[in-house]
Amino acid sequence: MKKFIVLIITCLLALTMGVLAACEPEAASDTTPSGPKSNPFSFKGNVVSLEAVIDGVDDDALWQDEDRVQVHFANCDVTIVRRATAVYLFYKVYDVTPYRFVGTGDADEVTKSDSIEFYFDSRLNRANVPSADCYQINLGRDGRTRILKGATDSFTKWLALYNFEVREGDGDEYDYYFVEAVLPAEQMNMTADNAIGIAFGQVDRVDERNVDLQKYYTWTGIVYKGQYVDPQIPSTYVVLNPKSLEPGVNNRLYTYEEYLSLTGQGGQS
Amino acid sequence: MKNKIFAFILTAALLSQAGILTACTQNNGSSDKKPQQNIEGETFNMPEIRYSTYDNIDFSDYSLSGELVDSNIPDQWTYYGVGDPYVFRFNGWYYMYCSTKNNQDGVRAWKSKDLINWQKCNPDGAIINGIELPSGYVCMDETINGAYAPEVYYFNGTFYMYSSPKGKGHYVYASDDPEGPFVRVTDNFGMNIDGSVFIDDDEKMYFISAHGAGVAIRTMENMTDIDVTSSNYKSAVLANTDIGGWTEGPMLIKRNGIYYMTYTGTDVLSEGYRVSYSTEFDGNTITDRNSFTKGVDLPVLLTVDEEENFKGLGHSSTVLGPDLDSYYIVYHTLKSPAGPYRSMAVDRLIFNGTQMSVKSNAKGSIAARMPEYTVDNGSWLNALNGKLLSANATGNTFSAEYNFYDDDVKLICSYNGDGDYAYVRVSYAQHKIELVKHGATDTVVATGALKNDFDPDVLHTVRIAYRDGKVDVYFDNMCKISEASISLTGGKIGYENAAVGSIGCTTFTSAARGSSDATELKTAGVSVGASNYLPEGALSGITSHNLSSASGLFKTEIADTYPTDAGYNGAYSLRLNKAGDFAKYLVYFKNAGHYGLKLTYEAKYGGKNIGVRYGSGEIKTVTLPRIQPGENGCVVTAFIDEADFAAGPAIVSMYGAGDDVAFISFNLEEKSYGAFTFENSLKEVISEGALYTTMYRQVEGGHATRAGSSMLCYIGDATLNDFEVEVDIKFLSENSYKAGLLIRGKNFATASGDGISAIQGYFVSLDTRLITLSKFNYGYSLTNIEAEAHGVTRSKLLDHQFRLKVTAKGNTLSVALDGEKIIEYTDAHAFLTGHIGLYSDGAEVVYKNIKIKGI
Repeated sequence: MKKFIVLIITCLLALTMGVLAACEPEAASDTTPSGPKSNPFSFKGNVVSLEAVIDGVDDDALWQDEDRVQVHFANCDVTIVRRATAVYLFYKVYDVTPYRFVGTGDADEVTKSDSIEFYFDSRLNRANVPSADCYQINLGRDGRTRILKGATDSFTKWLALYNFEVREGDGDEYDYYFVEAVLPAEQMNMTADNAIGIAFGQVDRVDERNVDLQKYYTWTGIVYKGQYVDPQIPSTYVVLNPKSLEPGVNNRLYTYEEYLSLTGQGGQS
Repeated sequence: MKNKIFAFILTAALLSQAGILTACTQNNGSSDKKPQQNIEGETFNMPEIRYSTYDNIDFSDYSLSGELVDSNIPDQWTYYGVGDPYVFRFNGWYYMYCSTKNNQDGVRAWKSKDLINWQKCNPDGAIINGIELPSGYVCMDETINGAYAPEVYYFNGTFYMYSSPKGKGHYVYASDDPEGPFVRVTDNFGMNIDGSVFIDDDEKMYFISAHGAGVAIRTMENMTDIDVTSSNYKSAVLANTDIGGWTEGPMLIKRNGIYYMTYTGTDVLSEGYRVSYSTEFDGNTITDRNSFTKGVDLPVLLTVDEEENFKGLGHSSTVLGPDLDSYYIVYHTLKSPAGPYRSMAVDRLIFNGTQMSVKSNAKGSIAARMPEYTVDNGSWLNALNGKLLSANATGNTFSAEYNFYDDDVKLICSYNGDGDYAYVRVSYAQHKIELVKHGATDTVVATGALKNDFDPDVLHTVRIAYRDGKVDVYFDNMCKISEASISLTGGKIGYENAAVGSIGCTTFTSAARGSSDATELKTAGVSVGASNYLPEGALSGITSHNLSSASGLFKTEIADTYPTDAGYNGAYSLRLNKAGDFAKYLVYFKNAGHYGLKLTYEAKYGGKNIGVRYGSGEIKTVTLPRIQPGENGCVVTAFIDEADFAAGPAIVSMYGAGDDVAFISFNLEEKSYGAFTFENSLKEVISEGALYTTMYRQVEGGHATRAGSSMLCYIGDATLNDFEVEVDIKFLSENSYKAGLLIRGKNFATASGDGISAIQGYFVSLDTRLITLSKFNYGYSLTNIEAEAHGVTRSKLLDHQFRLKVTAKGNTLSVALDGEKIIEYTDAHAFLTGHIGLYSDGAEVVYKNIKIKGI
């Protein structure tokens, strides 16, 4: 009986509203908004504000940070500053035979041209096969790139959120070039305080011939405390640890053995 | 998960007893889910809609950060996963085969009852006929190293596997068990990769495979004899079956008399790997080059979801659902290009005549309905008067499946007593299959022919599908009796003249001939076809539809003069000619939000009124927008209304409003609304409201692109609909490349083979010669909609900072440069939502001062 009464009322209401169609036992609307998004711009972006202008000039205060790490290898002076949201790198590169390149595109040809390299094992798992926490970044003096993220058993293209700028030296530094780069921590699986593995390399193209890419260039990597760091083998990487493992020392490099010893993990490998 | 499934089966059984079509469990495993306010009114008592969900990302055995996790598919190849999945249904089980990790031997397989939880085949390994199969393997033939995309088909007692190891041409392997061991039975017969077999209702067999220009098709003499000589390979490629380049992973199915060809491309390593489809429905021979027509809303599967790492969807197979009526598309997603490492996914297909649609979901897919009744063998059936019968009865609409050996077995349905039932009888000796109505005398209603010499001593499958006085009968998945007229009611199913030991899986569901597409929850984002309205009695307490003689379904006919919309030929439209006529549709909202109702209709109905109603809300009368479809088309798609929806199921109703009006399908798409604004100088990175795919240089106080690179920064989320956007843009160097604004963009792919068109949306671009408005859909319909030089000389371009403004309102985009309106374009099948983006194709420019306003 109740249904019947409601049916009559509903139909009468519908007729009153000029809507002929509502002749079924359903009530008037109780549908209410349930909190849909009203602002399509109110979400956290995937990049963070930077602490340096990435222009190839190391005049930002960040580069004078007391916790910066400085290392020299081959013909490169590298400064590393690590923040919770990003890792900043600055390369000063002496180019013995300057402006030598092969090809015109990004990717593998960059690694045979005047360029610098840096490698990250961002979770320090030292896996022998590159995994999702391994990054290989090659930046050419001419601005070309080869950016790889090791996802499984080989390196793959990484849709990168890095930023970098290459600046040519002038005056007395005319045979130098400078690379300033920033790498986002979150997107590279780094937290504010985890230890990461790092390796470096420099390529100096000595001949411009576009033949036999394996010749006519020199590649030099870092040797740290007598140990050669092979960028193809993450287990050889040096360790950048942001925590103070030693009194008054932050953000310095360690060999892996030193890192194990200082963290009380001696005996592991 | 086992508990979930148990709950699902239990609930399904209970619901079947109650005669309720909507047999679902709910997704939290414990208490029943309350109907959402989208459905529930105050005065009617609708039964709870129950459903369960699953997450496709659970098929992967690695987490986003690379840790090994429990998966619904155990023991996958490390750092390889499941790629090119092929799922095959046999005797109540699903078997899944996939490509073998590079340079490794053998083929692995898994099996499942529900398409969600999988177990290894031969988990303990096996030695069969002297062939050793390691755990999880079904084939260890010496030729099968690096197996590409193995597929398995059953015919007359033998399982045939087709694969092209390492892509070096196909072999056929055979076994008498789906779990192997499969052994090679042919020499290599080439035909590239991704071989797939289709057996038509007339028992003709076809072999289809990958090709650069579309799907290649060849006839087969039998399951091992492929005709590779009758014509050259190129001439065997079907027109209108290409993905826009290299086309692979084809599969052909036939449903209700319509052929659906799915295919994938173009690059398995791309996030934009995708699936499209074509159909043939008007009697052409399917080997004719021009027999197929491309479908609509293509690609049918394409998602680039970086947040969930759910992308690169492709290489699909299609399989009948556990309810014997639904279809599911099984595909892989790209976890990483290395390997490549892939993962399986599965989602529900929805059909509307020739129209096919699917909503891919990283999370929250609606689980397949399990059968209302199923037993694995004859010992579970009840003996009665010389028959073996099910314990339960079907509904008045039903699909029943019988797996059995022996000749002259009667397969009973609609049993309501010894004097009241129907049956199907297979007579191998007489090469026929009969549908018989049993009463005082037996009446043969319809007969189908069996052309091959089928062996009665091997297992065969018969499926009977009955709905609204029409019945289809399938023998080994071939439709042998189609649309036979007979009046049946629900009843028990079973066997006569069959020994208990000769009976396999016996199962039924109260759905048939596509009815489950109507009763299924259709996830918002999928195209809901006009024919997918709820049948009467689907939900108690609700009048599902009320269609007078003035209203009803009809097949859409598109004249040859409108080739753009040829894909809508054969899709059903619903005419609503009388005020008060209505049809209700069941939609599922994964997320609460504001959704636009996107309607597809013939342009001639523009200006006519139609009624829409959500849940128990008021009926709103909406006037369909008048949109000019262009001279080559006659169908348009447009937002006609919008509303807020809670998460969960909802009923969307379409009403007649007194006009002569019809529609083909609708889709509910989350969209922005209101007077939102966004401004940014672009001097620094945007930390809120933007997603960068590449980083911009900080030059001249703006966002600068790098010369020679494609760069994209999405601004705003993907719901942006109607807005004005303007930005300063200045060229920093001279080259012939483009930069500008992306409008309503999404699904950007960046693999090495992907170009500027590997995205969906509009690109308003400048170069040193032109201002161009392009529509990108993965190059598939790459069209420079309008390109005009407007006095923008090269010198001016390099010296000048332009103010570029784009207004997107409904289906129309207009472009202004420095305050002068220079382009206006209306797109009949517009992308209606998506991101705004700074997008460049090699040009070196700097962007400044972006301003966006909702309109």
